[in-house]
Amino acid sequence: MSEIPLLKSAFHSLDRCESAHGTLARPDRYRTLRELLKHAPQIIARGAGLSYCLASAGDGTTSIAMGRFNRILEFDRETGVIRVEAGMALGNLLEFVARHGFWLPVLPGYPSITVGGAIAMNIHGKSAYHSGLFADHVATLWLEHPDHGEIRCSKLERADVFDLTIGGFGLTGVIVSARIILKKLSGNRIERTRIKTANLADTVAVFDKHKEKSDQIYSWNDLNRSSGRFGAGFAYLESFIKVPARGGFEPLAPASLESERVSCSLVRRPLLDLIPHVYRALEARRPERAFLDPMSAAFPLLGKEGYLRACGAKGFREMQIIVPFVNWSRFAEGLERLVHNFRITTTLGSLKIFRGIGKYLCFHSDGLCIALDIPLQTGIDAFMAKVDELMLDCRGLPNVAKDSRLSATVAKSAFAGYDEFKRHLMDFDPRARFQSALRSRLNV
Amino acid sequence: MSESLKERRPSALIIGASAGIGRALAGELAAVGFDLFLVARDALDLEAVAGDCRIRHNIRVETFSYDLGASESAAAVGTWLSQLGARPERVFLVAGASLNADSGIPTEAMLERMLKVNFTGVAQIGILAANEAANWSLRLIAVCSTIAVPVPRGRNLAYATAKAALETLVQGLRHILASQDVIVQIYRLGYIDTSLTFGQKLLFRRASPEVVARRMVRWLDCNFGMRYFPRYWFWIVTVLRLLPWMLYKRLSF
Repeated sequence: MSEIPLLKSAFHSLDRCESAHGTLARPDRYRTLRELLKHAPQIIARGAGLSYCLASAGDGTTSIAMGRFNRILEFDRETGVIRVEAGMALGNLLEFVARHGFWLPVLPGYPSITVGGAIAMNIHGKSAYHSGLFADHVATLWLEHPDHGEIRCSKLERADVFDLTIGGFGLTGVIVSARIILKKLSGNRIERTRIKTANLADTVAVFDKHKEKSDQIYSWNDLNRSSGRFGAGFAYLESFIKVPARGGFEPLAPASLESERVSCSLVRRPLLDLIPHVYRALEARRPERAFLDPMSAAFPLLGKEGYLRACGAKGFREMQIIVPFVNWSRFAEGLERLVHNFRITTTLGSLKIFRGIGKYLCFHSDGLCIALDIPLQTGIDAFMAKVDELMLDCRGLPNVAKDSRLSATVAKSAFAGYDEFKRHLMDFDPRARFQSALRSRLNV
Repeated sequence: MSESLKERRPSALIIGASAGIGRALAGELAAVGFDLFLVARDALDLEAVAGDCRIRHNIRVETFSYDLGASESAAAVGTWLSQLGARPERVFLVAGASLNADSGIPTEAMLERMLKVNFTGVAQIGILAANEAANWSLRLIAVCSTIAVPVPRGRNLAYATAKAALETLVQGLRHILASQDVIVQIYRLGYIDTSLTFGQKLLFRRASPEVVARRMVRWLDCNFGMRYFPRYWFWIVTVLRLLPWMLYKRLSF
């Protein structure tokens, strides 16, 4: 252990609102990884480090950077089942599988997010309605745990560990590899249709009309408007289509986003307030129907790194909530009231549509998912606390992975599986070796 | 049917292929169509590297777990290769290890360990390749050394000593193999972003193992003898060597 180099580091969540001081290790072979697991008192795996909350670091914790474990271990070209190491970036994986006629059913916003991170946070993408969450496409997992050794688990084998690990925030061990079921590419271009919407209710109506036909459906909404225009914006419908072949896919643009780099403070409130206006103006100039290279449309945040950097060193808050369909109208009205009462400026509002059911603290349910990005500003904490109340009143679910201030109390109230998650986690790992700022905050 | 050189797929033997430059080199050589024979201590990592190369590039990859620091003989590698019928025409000796504890005057145990891993074990494979030069139609032996060889210092002395010994041996092999048109290359590497340098505060930027590997593949047929990489280290080393002893002895690097 003394020969494994450790780097003292300050870690920040992507939104810059959660911080910790710990050490970083970067093993490049399994022997070193196992030695770290054996000797470090508190550990947690770290993928790209781009989570909105600090799930991959904690005070006094050794974060294990998994980036060197990024190899393809198995690939069945017939069935589209691939086994990869957990440190593989989803962008790299996508480039490989797309060349072989496959696609990842669920993609996050940014390509450097890793397979291990996607499983630990059980991420969703633009295709949540049809494809569910990332872990719905994971067949088998391999975990390393200091007390349990190597564990292979799936829905049929050690299902308890599998369930606990999926969306388990890396607290059950280090995910070292996973077997993923890919989907066959159904086209070589993405047809994107943009529909202008008058408000949130109008957006939901567009979703209702097109959700079955579109592979991916989401929206951009301006939550700074009022008088019946609250949430005016655009709904986007995306579907794979086949067009006459014109060579292979474009390579992905280089990914440059790191949570440690989001520190530029040049652009502050007045300019942040302009973001929705600029976005709306730019979108209005683009054609309503476009045929995109799938790679360029895969990761919505790629190429928009400046948006996050513009929020400066102080950062911003994001919250994401699934609201059951039956309570949506009440929630939307309440949200509009709160935004106006607190005079809150949001830089992003977005809707997606979900269906399914999740276990433990999983962000999965039937309903509409709303995301808000809010630059740090006066009254933000009180505003978000009120939104929490509204969410609980509407039986909504918060996304633990996206909200760096979500309290244990709210999480406990929102998730029916909170106590069960905590109990099962302690049963599995009584020494609680895997620690992070997120775990401390959620008290699990 | 006799197999002419043109009909053979290019192949390479990499010693130290499980991580760092060796792993990156495996990826780069696989990308240009080399069949690979990979040797390293860690079987699990070796298999992962091999699997990745096979899947991505559809090439033949064979692996052999061999600990340069153990008392095994390099003949085991020769036996493994002959059992496979392998005749790698390019050999990369990139294995090596240094320890934080290798600081100041080396202990006997440290010196012995560093010499075994960085010199004896590697040298044995180099000698094996030289002896098989005609049989393998050998075209290249490439060795990774360190900038600490020309400018020794108080840190990693046992490591630098072992690498210096390796350089001497390889330069001799270059002379011996010149008549058989075998290229022998020594790469004196500066700061490389591997586990050896992770967490250290260094004066200059680290080069990624992938960049080093890409250059090594680009220079496969270059008979330059010895080269610094990154190239600016040549100038740094030259300046350091020109420093009067009175100044050099005060440096801490």
